[in-house]
Amino acid sequence: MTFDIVVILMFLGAFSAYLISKASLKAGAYATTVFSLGALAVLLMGRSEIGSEFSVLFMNFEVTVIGWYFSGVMVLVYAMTSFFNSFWMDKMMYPGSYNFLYLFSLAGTLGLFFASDLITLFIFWEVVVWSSTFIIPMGKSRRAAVVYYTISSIGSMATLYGIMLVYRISGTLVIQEAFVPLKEDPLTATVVFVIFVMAGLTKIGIFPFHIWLPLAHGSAPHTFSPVLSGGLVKMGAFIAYMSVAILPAYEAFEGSLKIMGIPLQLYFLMILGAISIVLGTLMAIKQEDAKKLIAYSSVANGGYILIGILMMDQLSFAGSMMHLFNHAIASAAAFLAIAVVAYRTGTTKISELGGMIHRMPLTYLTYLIAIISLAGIPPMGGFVSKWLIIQGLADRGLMFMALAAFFGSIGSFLYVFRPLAAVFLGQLKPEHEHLKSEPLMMKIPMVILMVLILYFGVLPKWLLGIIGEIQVAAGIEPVMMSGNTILAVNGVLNTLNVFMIFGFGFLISLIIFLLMQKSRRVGLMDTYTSAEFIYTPELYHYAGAFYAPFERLYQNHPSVEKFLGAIAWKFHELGTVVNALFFSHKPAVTVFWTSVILVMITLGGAGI
Amino acid sequence: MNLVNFAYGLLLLLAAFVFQTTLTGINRKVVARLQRRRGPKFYQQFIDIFKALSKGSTTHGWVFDFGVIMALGGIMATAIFIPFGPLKAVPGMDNIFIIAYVLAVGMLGMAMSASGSGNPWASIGVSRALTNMLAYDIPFMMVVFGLIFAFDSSSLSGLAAIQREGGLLGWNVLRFPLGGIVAMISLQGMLGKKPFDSFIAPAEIASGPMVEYGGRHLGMLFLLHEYSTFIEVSLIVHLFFGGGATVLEFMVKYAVIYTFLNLVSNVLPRFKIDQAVTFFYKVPLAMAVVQTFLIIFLGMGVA
Amino acid sequence: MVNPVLLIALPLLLAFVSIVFKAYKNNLLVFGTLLNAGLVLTLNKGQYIIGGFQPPFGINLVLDDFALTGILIINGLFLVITLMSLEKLEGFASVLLVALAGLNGLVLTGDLFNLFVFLEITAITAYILSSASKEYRYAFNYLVLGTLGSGLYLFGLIVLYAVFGTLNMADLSVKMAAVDASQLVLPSLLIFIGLAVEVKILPFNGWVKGVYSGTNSLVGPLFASVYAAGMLFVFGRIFAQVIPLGTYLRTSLVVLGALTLLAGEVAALSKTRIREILLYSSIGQSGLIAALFLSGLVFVAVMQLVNNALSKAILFTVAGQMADSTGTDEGEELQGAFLEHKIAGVGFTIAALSLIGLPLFYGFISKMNLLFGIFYSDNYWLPVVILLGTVIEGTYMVRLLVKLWTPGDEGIVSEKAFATERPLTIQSSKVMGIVVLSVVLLIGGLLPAVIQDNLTDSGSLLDEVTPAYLFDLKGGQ
Repeated sequence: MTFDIVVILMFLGAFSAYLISKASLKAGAYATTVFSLGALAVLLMGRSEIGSEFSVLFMNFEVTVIGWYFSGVMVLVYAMTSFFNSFWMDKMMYPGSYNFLYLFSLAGTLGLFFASDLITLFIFWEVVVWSSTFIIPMGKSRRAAVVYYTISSIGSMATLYGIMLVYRISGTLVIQEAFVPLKEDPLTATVVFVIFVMAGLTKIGIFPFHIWLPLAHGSAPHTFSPVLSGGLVKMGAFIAYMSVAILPAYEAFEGSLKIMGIPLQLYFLMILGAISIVLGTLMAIKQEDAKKLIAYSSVANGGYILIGILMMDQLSFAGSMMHLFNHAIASAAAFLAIAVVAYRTGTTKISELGGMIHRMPLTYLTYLIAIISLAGIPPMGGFVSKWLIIQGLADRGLMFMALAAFFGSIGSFLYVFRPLAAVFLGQLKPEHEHLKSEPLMMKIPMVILMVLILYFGVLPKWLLGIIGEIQVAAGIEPVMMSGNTILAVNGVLNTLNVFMIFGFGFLISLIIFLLMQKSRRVGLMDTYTSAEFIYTPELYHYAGAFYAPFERLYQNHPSVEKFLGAIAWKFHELGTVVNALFFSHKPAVTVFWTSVILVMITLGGAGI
Repeated sequence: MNLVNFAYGLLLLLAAFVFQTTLTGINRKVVARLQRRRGPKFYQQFIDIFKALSKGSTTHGWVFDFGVIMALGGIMATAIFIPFGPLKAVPGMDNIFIIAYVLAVGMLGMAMSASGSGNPWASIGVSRALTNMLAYDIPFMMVVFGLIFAFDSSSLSGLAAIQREGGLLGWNVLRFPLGGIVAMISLQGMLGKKPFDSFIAPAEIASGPMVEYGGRHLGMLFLLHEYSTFIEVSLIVHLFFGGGATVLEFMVKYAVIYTFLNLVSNVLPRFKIDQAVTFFYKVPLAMAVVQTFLIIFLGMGVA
Repeated sequence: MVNPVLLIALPLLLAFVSIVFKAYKNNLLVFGTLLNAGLVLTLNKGQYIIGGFQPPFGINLVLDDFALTGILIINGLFLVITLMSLEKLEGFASVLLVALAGLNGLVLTGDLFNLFVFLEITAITAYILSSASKEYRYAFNYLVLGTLGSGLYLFGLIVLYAVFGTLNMADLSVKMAAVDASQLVLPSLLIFIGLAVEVKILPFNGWVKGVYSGTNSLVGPLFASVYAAGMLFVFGRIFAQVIPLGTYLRTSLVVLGALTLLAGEVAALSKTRIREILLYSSIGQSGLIAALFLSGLVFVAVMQLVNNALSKAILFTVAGQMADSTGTDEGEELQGAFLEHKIAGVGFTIAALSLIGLPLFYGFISKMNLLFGIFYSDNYWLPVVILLGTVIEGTYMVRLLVKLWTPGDEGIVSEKAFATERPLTIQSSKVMGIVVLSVVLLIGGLLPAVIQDNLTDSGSLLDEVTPAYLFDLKGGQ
């Protein structure tokens, strides 16, 4: 009952946000905050109504636990980011439309997660794709929007083919029933699985579909990048979940070749996930733009999420579900922190920044906590989820995924540290000397996100409880917890204890620090310089090519971007060829082709 | 968890400090003898640390201080998780991945503080240190992954106990010799000893992360160094040399391994940072993958 | 009871009157189109005999659901497009009235020779209209190819008449069905090629490029939506009802349609001028619709046809107007053109999205139905082609939309200052027309029943049961 109203209200809210924007841009921006916070509140309060079904127009919905969980993550990211909208109203090309599309895409995601039939699912999928497509070009790149749309639509068209195939086979589109006949037919199930999961892969940004992420996340409006990276990417995880849990892949592929108990079809996808982790990490390390860097980190984290979902087990799956949440809020927080910097300085280029900590300490703290979580370091949420994923991998002995996971984990220290050192730490540039601190409305979401990241890293019980319900619904063993201890088959983790011991260590360290002689405060330029005299802070800052020796090792790497670009260009050329061959200004050409066709078909027909 | 655990933790920290710092002092002596010098007194390291702590210093802002506190705090917390032989301050918390990741808090704190100094040389040092970490950690984690799969446990003390059941031949370094070699090489990298010491670069202080530190900051970083050495060597002792049924056994094994690595370090030249990465990915990583492959697919050495 | 022959006779009459009363010819045109559109709403289905001879000996008009949908679309769109671009009429009012008569005749007639006459009438008006661009060479090309097509059509007709002795559609369809289809390859093919020239099937469509790319805001939408719709309705009538195709010929021609779709979309991808993009998209859509008709999927073909006609009317109006008022339709030159014309821009966007087949717009409903239809005819390769075409179509449409909405070079935040300085004007009449058409697309997408009800039976007289799969989500439970 509550949920149908919230879905409809969000669509109406999108229109009213547009109308309000016509009266006052700021008010329109606040409307996005009000509506998305409202949706969040309804979702939280309506948890008891999970399982309710409803229909709007010709579309059918059912609220499942997983749908509720995903929409919760999504709405949270949207709501937190919406606090930033008002600051960009005067900079945006179409502020009213931005507010409209912002809420419209949110409404679309809600519809997507609640869909109970495949057509409704597809409708909302496409609604989200096209509504977000029109937000992206308001940022720095038009090409990004086209690439985003093309890649998304390759995925969604493949999925649509899968939907049609499923319907042809089972005669129904109800999600829970449509895939049932596939269990008896592994070959068809493989085909359906591979094409159905495509939309998911393109959206998560799994290799080789990852190319849109850095482009779109890196150049979208600053207020939309957090949503893209934290929120919309997670739609792909939902499709991935559907293809392995609802299909259900493990049952359908029971008879196929298995590697360490994983059917080959899934193993192949896991390899793609592993490649995404490695590739995302390597690319993130060498980025010169903070937003692109976080975008590539989303590629890497998407790999973790995909691998975990495909495992469909007690540990990795739970880890993946939790990572989805952790990555959503951490990546949103990181993007928001960069957005604050961009708002004050007008750039996101790492080498043009520095020393921001001295002007916006809270933003620095937000970024710090976000990256600690992204890198999977305790006591933040990202640690718990990565721990679960890796324990699960160790349990199954999936060594190549684990190799990628380790590389991604350690590599993430490298890339997350880069903006920390070069944007927030180091020398403050003279032109940034008089920057103001972050406005209050920006502080609110950042503080909330910080608290959430820390809270779920220390006390993940509530979150893992929901994930346990999802696992039960998906028919697998739920993750076990006793008190604050997560019980894995091959290890235990008490996050509260980790936090307390960490606090204890910190306390001792603090005591040592305080007991000793006080230090004298000196300026940033007052450093050891091998006796050189230095006057230019902007030159005395290590920011560009941060990991130069490492980057050199893979600077001549093969690029899938170039390859895909070449394919796109081939289509272009094909168009020119077609044009030259058939669409001529000379009627003789047409007459020629007409006779060719006439002769060919007549002869062929006579021959038969 | 209660106050007793914290008290134990504190004791363990003290013990680890005394033990490792003494060992460092002795090793300075050993190295000196290797180089035909007399060398400092075996307690010289204590003197150095306390002297540094008691001196005045300069600071470059709050993140410079905060980073140091966070670094030492994180490392001490990690040290509390490490079983000292059979002794554990907090039971059930010696999960290898927890330790590996909590260790990173300290690393991050130090990196943050160093970059916060505003000295680009420090940032360069940090960039080298992190690159080095990406090199040595992956082969090591790979081997550890194989161990966890083999014994279905990721607890340090648990893995050590399993080894001790098989006597001397039960030691993982003998069961999985390839993995043992990888672990030793990685440990050399973790400790920042030659040939993998380009990020500390003791001979060229101007290009290391430590360039801006003095006084209590430097003293705390000395402490940090002792603790991280303790953590890293203990990891290897527990994972590959059967840990210790008694505190003494643990300490002996520990001392032997540490001294051995120190000696190795002193007869080797230094890798450039990209050479180190290439080396780790060519040799130890390949060995680690082979080792893990043998464990997982052939069950070699597990039974 | 209104006789549908009035739909043909009245515009013709008005056309003659307009030649006499030159001063009032524009008014007569508006009157004629309004009258026709009004008449359509009062028509009853049935068979209407002209001249008193009973078919198969006399000429008759067939007004079934199929034809009704056809004249509804043709007259409705004709009205809207004419009203939108009255200022572009110049000397063409009489021609347009004749064209209206010819198009109605095409859809209504039940006789193949009569069809030929209307085909010629319509074609001649098209030749004249295509000369409005002052590119006489292209108009001449069109004339040559159109004549070639009509000639081949007539040739096929003669063969059929020689064999069966009748040209009445209903009669012929019965007689032809009794003969082995493989013996009818030549006449079928000749008629196919004859119509394919007008329907724009590859490779008989060489004229389209020259003619469409120079059209103004009146001729462009007329060609791309009204003429195209009329010709496609004829095509559907003949190849889904009258002439039975053997498996071989049917498959070859479906492949030809699919190739047209791909070739059109791929060619559009390589273009940068707006009207060129749209004209290749029209070719692609024609190929798709023709392939659907040839596969016997009449209902979904009509749905897609309606979608294409409505969308193209908007798209070509805006594109033509851009070219008329700014002197160019190069996408790069018109960056941010919609900044000052938001309503027209939104209409253009809705039309483009509907053409791609994105949800909330009518195009989605038709795309879903056509996919369901094809899957139910157990054809698994055609959907692949269609979906590939959709991806390409989406790519160039989004590329165009993004350019028209958000100006600015790569790497720079889009700003109003980067918008084109060319003076684009869009008259309020056009804006109103665009709004009406895009509202139809929107309503069609949200309440599929509205349009669906009018289309449900369009295939029913065609002996081809094409069930409406429309959102029968529970699989008929």
